[in-house]
Amino acid sequence: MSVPDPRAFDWNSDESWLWRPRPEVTFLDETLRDGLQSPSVRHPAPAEKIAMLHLLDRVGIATANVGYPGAGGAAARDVELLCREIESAGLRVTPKCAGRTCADDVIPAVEIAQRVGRPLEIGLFLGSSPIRQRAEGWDWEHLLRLTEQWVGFATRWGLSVLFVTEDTTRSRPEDVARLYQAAVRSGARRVGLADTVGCATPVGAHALVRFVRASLDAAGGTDVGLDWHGHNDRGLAVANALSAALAGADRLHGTALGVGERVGNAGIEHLLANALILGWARPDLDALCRYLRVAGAALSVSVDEQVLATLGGLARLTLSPPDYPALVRAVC
Amino acid sequence: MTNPLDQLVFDWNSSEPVALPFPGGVTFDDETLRDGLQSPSARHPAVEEKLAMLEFAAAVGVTSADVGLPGAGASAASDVEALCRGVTAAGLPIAPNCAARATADDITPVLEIAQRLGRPVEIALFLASSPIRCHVEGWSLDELAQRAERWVAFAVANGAPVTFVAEDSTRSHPDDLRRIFAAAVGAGATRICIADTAGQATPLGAYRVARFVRQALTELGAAGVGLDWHGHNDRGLAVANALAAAWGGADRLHATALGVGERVGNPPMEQLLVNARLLGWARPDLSRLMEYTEHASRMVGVPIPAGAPVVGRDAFRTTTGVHASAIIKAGLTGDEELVDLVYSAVPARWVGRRQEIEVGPMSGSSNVRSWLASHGRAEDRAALSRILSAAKRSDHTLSDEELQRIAVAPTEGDED
Repeated sequence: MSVPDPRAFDWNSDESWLWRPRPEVTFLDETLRDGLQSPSVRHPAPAEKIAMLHLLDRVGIATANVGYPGAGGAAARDVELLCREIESAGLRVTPKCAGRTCADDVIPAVEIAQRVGRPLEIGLFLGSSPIRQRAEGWDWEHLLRLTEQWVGFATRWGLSVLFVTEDTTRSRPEDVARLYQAAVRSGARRVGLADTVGCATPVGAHALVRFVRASLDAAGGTDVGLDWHGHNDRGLAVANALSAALAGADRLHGTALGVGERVGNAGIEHLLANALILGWARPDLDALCRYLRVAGAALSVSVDEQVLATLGGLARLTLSPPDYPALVRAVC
Repeated sequence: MTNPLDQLVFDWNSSEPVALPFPGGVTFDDETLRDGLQSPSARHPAVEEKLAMLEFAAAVGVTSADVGLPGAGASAASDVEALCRGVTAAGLPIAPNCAARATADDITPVLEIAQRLGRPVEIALFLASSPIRCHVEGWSLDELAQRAERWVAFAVANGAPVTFVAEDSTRSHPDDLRRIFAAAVGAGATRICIADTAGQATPLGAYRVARFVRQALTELGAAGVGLDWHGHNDRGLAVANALAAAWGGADRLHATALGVGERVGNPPMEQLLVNARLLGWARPDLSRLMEYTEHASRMVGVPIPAGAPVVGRDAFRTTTGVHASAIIKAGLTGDEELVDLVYSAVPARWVGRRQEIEVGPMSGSSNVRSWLASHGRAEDRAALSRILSAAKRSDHTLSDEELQRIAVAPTEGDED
């Protein structure tokens, strides 16, 4: 017996300025860098990192942060190891590493890219908010010079630069615009907006992304990509990321199981499930569940089986006509 | 609140108006004792534990709570009555309500409890059906509306304030919702609850449906009827949806402690309270918020995840070199507020906590110096070097015991 189309009314769609049908969105997995900043996780062994990389590639995640070469020692070694693995296994995922605007962080990345013989993206980050400047005693002109100097250097030495202002969500619009424009002039291909402390709401995320997109476009940077990276201190990380995408962010950051600094980042599983429902992407959900289990074991973080079960249920909302009698519950 | 620190923080969130479209601010309904205990992992707590839950809820500013579904059976009914009595006896500023399906078997026990208590008990009345179900099953919407009218009227006639719960609102057609609400309100319901039963709403959808219902109620001549939002976290959007619903006109938001509940649960009450306070929508005293969630955790048998916002172990904790360094520098300015602000969206002191700096593989010397200083070894440069080296080689955050061991004696192989 076929189930008639119940004509569920979709309150979620709207033709207002808040909505963009089918934004072009890709995903960046930060588990192996931001994720490892969680005070509660175990740092995976190199072989475990490689297994995670293979699985997130199977899911269809476009880019992975492979670590922070400036940390030296094992961290730097793992960055190179993962870049080599991508190359030798022919993975589609592209590698990105992280670094501050300084020689100690940029030069190791340049050297890794040269030794591996393949392109490497670097996320160069700099704190831009008045509160960071106050706490650190920084000088504004100094920040601009650092931006121009190191974005320029990294670009000339063959790295693809994503320039990230830390604490963007508490930074002044004029400061943010100036730094991004300086970065783009110096060669940055992408700019990253970071809700470092997790204070944004979806409204704020939307306003900030809209502003930056417009300021880049006005300065001739229509081909400059825009990343959104947020934290979950208010429980809004996933919602903020979706809102950022609706405002023009074309790459969203997340981590497996939402692990990361303090209470973590947007769970990449929630970002991908929402992207699937919204028609923005077609991730492989089976591979995603496997990825979460392997990541959970490697990180020593428990996986909520309810979440995995729900991902399957959410997938049914799009892949086949919903089974409404089964979904309607007796109690809310 | 004018505060020099406000100049340091540009607030992107205020680009849009944050005022709510109704007076009096937002209130909260705690569903931990009903929806929360339906979670597959929940245990069955004693009445005393449940009453303590209500005391903690009241302490953090929650003004109503679902105390259970008496129609579920004799022990459920007896617990509900004991809780209603307990709330009255303790003079708690929290109003109990009961869930009930649209049947005499569910509604009558609540009416009887209220009668024995000598005061009304609010009923959250639901049909166990929805417009979508009608379309699927081939029932008429009129029949649904009639049932709503009949049972709301029955409860109201017997002295119960009624919140009519419209299941699956977030997938229902506006015309269907309007029809059902007209019936419920016409029969005397004083509140309507929009339920995102399938957990599939987005913030924009929640906002739109809440705004529509608010408008529809006004058009029905029922502008004084209250509006509840009850959502779930299937898409990881429960908190955002609740806030969006408030923006749209929902003045009472449902939540559970730690978000426990059906499937992946409800919005966590502690996160809603913090967000409401940050948005200026309410001024709950959060000093006992940790106790509220710790009690819920014990009661329900679910541990508080380390990564739970605000109340998790990691909420104000870092091992990252760059972060620790900034927090320490903020501390050197002598400004405690700055310390609580430089790498934090929620002031730790609201919940009686402090920023914590720990030592692990991502740490720098600032982290280690901070630990040494707080353990009476501020000048011990050899320990600094040993600890930093051990931290870099570690695969986890080092515990106090581990740090003590490394501080006092050389570990194997650290002659680098």
